Amino acid sequence: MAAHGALLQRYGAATRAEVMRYLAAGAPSPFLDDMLADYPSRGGKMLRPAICLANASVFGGEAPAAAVRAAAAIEMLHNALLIHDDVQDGSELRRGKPTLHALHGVPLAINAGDALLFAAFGPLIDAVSPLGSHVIRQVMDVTTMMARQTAEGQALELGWRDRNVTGLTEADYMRMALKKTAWMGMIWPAQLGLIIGSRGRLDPEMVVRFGYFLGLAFQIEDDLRNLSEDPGYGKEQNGDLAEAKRTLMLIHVRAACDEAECARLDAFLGLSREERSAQDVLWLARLMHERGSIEHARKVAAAMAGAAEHEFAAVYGALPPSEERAFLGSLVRWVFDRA
Amino acid sequence: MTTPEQHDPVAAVSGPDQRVTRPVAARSAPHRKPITSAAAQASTASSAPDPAPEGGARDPDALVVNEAVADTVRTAYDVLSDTIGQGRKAAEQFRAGAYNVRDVPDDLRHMAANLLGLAKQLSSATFDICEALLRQTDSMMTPPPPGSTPVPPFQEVKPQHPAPGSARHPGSHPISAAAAPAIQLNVLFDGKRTAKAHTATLARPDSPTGADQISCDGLVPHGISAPPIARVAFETNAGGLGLTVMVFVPQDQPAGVYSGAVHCATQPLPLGQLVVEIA
Repeated sequence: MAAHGALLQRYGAATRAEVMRYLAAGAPSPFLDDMLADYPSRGGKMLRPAICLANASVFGGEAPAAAVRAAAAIEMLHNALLIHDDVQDGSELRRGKPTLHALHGVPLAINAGDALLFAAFGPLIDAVSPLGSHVIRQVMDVTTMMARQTAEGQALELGWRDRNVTGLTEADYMRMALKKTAWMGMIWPAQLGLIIGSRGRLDPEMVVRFGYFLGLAFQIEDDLRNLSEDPGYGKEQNGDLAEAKRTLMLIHVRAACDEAECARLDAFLGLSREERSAQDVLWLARLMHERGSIEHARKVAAAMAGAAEHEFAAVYGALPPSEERAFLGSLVRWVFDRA
Repeated sequence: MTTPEQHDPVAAVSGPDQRVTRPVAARSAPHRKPITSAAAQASTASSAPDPAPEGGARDPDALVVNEAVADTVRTAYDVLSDTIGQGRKAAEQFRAGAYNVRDVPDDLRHMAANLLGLAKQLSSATFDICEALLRQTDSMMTPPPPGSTPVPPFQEVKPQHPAPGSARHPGSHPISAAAAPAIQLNVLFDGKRTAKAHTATLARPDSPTGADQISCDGLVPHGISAPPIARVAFETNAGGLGLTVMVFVPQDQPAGVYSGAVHCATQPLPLGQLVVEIA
């Protein structure tokens, strides 16, 4: 991925400029416009727009200006959902600064998230309007599918926690990760790029499998990092355990522990976050190590990465070598090597 | 840099980069590298049994772990197939306007309740945006400036209760077609015959619809014996509003009045009658 830093920077700069151009259009509105531009101006990896732009390039490279607008729409929508996610999760920091609702209160933050969500359709409409009704239909189909999958994934994760659902399987976890992480983060950007780059000549389902396995590997690795000594910028070690987040490790350890441990685990999960003690969190972290849950999740993440590489070869392998294709292939390793 | 060929999971098992064949070194950092023997074996486990290590015995623990991981890969493929199938069905329901939370699987029914309001609003807004998009012209070959594309205001969808005794066909959209304005129809003729149209509007489809989903029966003659006019093609108006229909009139078509029902693929009720007169 480091070798593609220049490509990522180019994509990021083009996307960011387009986002800011759209957010600056129109008369500024008090208590709103500054908030809309807040998260996008904090930086970020711009990975989703880059996936869109690289796919647009490798699948035909037509309508490059439209691809940049679609990338801007993706970034705006992503930031809108981050605002809402931060409220739902009660997060205090985002990209090293206080979250929007911490700065301005929940009502204004939700309103800004709503506005940014629908503002994202501006560049998306402008991107696809010149490309004809067939392309428009394809883009709206994949976009409505993404919206539904993402909402379902978020509902699953929140519902499992709020209702203390314990009897989950690995398939349940994968379904949630597919919907919550992979669809919006990997599949949809790739589909938009493919549709625009090929002017609707290719089937957007082509890239679903690669995005899915990439997203699964990403989510499992993300969950593993939360339990490591270096959980990531602004994150608390074992924070997911304290929140009783339903991860692959939690599902595995519950199936692997004995009756007494299972009873203690269920009692722990039934508490509110404030009631869960640091001692219990450490006990659960140790139990995951002892029962092999961490190692199992590591192997599953690696297996998903292997499946992602397999799907990458199946879809992109026959395309001519290019910087963009190599960038997309490097995403599998980036999942594990990212800073 | 990664290339598909270099990272073929099967090739990785015996390739020079395979980690499992290297001498084991003490780790000084968290294990975060993606491609392990488990990954490679897992991705090939469904097609080939694990080879026994040279010298004989397998490690039974490794076998168990590999099978467990391989199972997760199989499960992952199953989950994807299920989800795509459900997504297709849901998309059809969304498009037909017949989405109902009771149709989703049991495990989602309760969990989605607190987000249902958002989903309804989102789908409503998306339909509005679809409709606006479908009116766009194909002739604009350069992107318009930011903010120049009109987007309809956010609509609140209220449940509509039909009056007692009133029939409502299955699959109809919650937003009544009767309340929507008619579509302007621009009738053009291809051929050397003189002709005129007696139809200027059609009913608006219940849900956002592309021109490729609108069709017309052959235009049959009235009061004369003549073959129907079979070639009728719809497309979006270049102006962005309404529809254009091209009627291809054969050179030897007898003069007279011809008509045919206009259908929309997304609903059972026709959108109206196309009536033309050949001089």
